Amino acid sequence: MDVLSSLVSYELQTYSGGVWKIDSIYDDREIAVFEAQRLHASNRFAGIRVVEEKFDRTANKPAARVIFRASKTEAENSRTLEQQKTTRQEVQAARKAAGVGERKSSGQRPAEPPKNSGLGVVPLILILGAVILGGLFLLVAMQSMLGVRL
Amino acid sequence: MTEETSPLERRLVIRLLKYWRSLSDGERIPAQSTIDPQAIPDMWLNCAVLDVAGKETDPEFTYVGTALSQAAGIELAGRRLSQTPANTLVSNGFSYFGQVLAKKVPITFGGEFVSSRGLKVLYRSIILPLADDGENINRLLGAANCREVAQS
Repeated sequence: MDVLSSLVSYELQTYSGGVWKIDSIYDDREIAVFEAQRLHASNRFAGIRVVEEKFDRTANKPAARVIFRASKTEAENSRTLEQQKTTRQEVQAARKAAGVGERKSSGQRPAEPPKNSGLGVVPLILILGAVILGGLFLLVAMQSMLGVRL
Repeated sequence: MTEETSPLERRLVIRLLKYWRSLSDGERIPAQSTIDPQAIPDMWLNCAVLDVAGKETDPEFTYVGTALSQAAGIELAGRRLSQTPANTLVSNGFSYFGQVLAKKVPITFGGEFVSSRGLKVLYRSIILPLADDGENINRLLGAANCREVAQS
């Protein structure tokens, strides 16, 4: 009985020291992938993959394809991206709560929130209104004094 | 006994492979002397050790677990693999030992056969290399289990 010449076999390969090596061979995909996941979780190897070797009857030659792949780098990148996403969401939530605008994508420092100068909006409007009224009053007074009609 | 989390993890071939890996540092093939039967009492009954040094084409059993002996119907220790009765768990389960010698890695295979009692038997086995010097295989550790199914 020749396992390796049966229709389909699965090679579990490990990547270490710059080379891929055959670790074990299976005739069952589920078992092969399960073992690959277990090896990946052990963190012993930089990379793990399962290669399905099938005999292509049409082409009359073997065909191989990777059906499972995992690496330490991929895992690290996934964790980093997830952390960045979480941090970004926390920052956005904090900004929203503080009433600060969205950060510009150009990377400019966000505008500092206006400092309390001592004058609110309402007093400014009142002052402006007083200035306008005063100006109008002055015009009317000048008109009556000089007898000039504007 | 720790609680496994999935049915696959409870399978004999997975558990024995896990044990074999614990004996290996990832680079060197473990030696038979590193195997502690008391650490794997339940699996050991379904295990066998074959001596292949100088017997690459027809290994000799140096140990056969009681479960496998009973399945074979004869005492196998000291016998060659070719002397195993046909259509038994042992004859089918260890038939691919040559590929393990060639590839130098564990191989697991499952299949079926019809027993001498006319029953269909589903089996799964695993053969793992052993090397006293860590590199040149001189023994094989095998394990197999099976179940009978009603003929349809």
